[in-house]
Amino acid sequence: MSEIFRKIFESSPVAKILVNVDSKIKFINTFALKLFGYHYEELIGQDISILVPKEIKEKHPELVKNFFEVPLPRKMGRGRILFGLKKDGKSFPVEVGLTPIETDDGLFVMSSIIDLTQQYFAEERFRSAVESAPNGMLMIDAKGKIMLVNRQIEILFEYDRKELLGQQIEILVPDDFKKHHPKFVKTFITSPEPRSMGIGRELFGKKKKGTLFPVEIGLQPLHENNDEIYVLASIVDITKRRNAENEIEEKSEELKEFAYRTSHDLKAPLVTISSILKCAEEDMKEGDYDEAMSNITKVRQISSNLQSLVHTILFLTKADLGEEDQTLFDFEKIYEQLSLNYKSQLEAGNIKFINHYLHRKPLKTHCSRLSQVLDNLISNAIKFSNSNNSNSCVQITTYDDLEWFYIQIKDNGIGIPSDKQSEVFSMFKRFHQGIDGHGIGLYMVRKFVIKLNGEISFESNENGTCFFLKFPKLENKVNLLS
Amino acid sequence: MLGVQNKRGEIMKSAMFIDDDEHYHYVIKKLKQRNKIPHLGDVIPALNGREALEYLLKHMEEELPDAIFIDINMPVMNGFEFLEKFKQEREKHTQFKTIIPIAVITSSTSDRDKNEIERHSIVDEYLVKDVDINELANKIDKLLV
Repeated sequence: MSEIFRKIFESSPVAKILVNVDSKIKFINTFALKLFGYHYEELIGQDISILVPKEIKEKHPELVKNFFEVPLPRKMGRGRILFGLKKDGKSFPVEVGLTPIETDDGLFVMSSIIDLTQQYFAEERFRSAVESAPNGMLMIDAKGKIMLVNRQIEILFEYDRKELLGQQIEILVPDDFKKHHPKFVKTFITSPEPRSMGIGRELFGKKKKGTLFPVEIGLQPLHENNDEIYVLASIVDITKRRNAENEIEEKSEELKEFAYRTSHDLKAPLVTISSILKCAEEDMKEGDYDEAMSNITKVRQISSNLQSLVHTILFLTKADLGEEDQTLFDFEKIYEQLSLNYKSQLEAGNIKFINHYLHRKPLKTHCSRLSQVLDNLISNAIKFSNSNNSNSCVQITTYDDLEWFYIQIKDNGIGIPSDKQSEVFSMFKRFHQGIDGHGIGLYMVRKFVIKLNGEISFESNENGTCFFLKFPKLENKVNLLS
Repeated sequence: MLGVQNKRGEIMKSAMFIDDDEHYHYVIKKLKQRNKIPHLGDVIPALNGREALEYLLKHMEEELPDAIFIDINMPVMNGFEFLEKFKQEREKHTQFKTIIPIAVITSSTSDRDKNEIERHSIVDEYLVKDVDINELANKIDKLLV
């Protein structure tokens, strides 16, 4: 080997090894010695497979031969990760370029070896960071092909990663958006700035079985080897957040309605009280003490109504608080209690209060809440009885099947006007002139029934009203299943 | 029509008051008795929109009230429903050729109700029922002049 050639070889900042057709090391530069941890004497004349991990050692001379059959410059390994073996037994990732060199002494191959340890670990770190991210993360290439997915993506979209790698990203996009999606990928690639996807729009992901779920997506361009661009997308399932937002919105609407209604319904009686007191004042001035007295009585009555309204509102606002334990509901007791509570009204209206309990198994529920529901419905049935009917009757009936417990409250009272029936469960709705009420009762009843996982409906005409309640018998279901 | 005159010789106007609160009707009666609404003549009370509408339709051949004061929150037929229905009736019957001025009197001061009231073109005034009844009496009286 010429001295010039040797010097060029030696001074190269890349590890270089010259090997002959028999796989023997004919020359090795200092950089390569350092990389593999050997002295010159230890390697010169040795088989090159000494620097190859043991998994490949046996096959290596064959590979060298293959190269000499078609001696063209090329990269070794074709896309596989190659490893070199150091003197101390440790292997490390490398890239190897092969160049045939024709000399007077025959054909040699010069391998240039680049240590990829740093890149390799950087990539490993990147992969494990992506893998362990709490969000779904995936990487696509500039053409939208999925290059990398993490565990969370598998969980979110219910795919195995094998089913996703190499696929177009559109596999995860809802059908009606699929067509346009490649355009969006292109646009992003041409101006790759980190950003959120679809600002102002609602984004959805598509699971393997086709169901859609709301997502939030962050996009991050990755530039590799200067010319290739990849996109790293971070995907968060926002189903829970969306549901919570909807719930908050619903609650806030309800609260607004509540504030609006209560402010009106609390203010109106105050205005009346003040007006009547003004009248009473004038009565006193005029010496009409009887009239003044009657006005003061009125004020007391209005105040007491107002107090009961406040009480009801307070009760209503507590509807969302605390849960009592489920116990067996005592239907006999509630019948006795309500008969006693409404004794005077029942007698005054000559109203019969009947129970018709046909259920076979008891109902386990949050008892005080159900009591409130029944109290409200019974008191309505009594309040809206038909005074022209001498056979006024309020009936509570129960029955059950395997899944449900049914309760009916039926009356033959004046009924709910047909044009108002759609508003029955709204807050502060009153439909009858001359009958006291705050218009909160049925709103509260429905709220409580829903809390008890039950359902409520009614039928009403001028011959009376019947409310139907049903509650799931969860325990029985469980028993049946087991 | 000369109309009925008050003590000062001014013409008094009849008015219909629509409100579900009986105490309110009592207060109006008292205010009139005590001459706090000097231009108020005959008073026609109605407890809700339907009662008022029925009265107006029944009496459209005869003498109709010179003004209508209506509340919003009422059972059976509320103020808004009344305004809607009354407008339709007015278009149907030539008897309603003299347009009766309508004022809404409500204790509600919410924007929502305000906007809804403004939506009804047949409403001429919007009065807030407040704790000072003398002030309300003055406002009603002004509208009757």
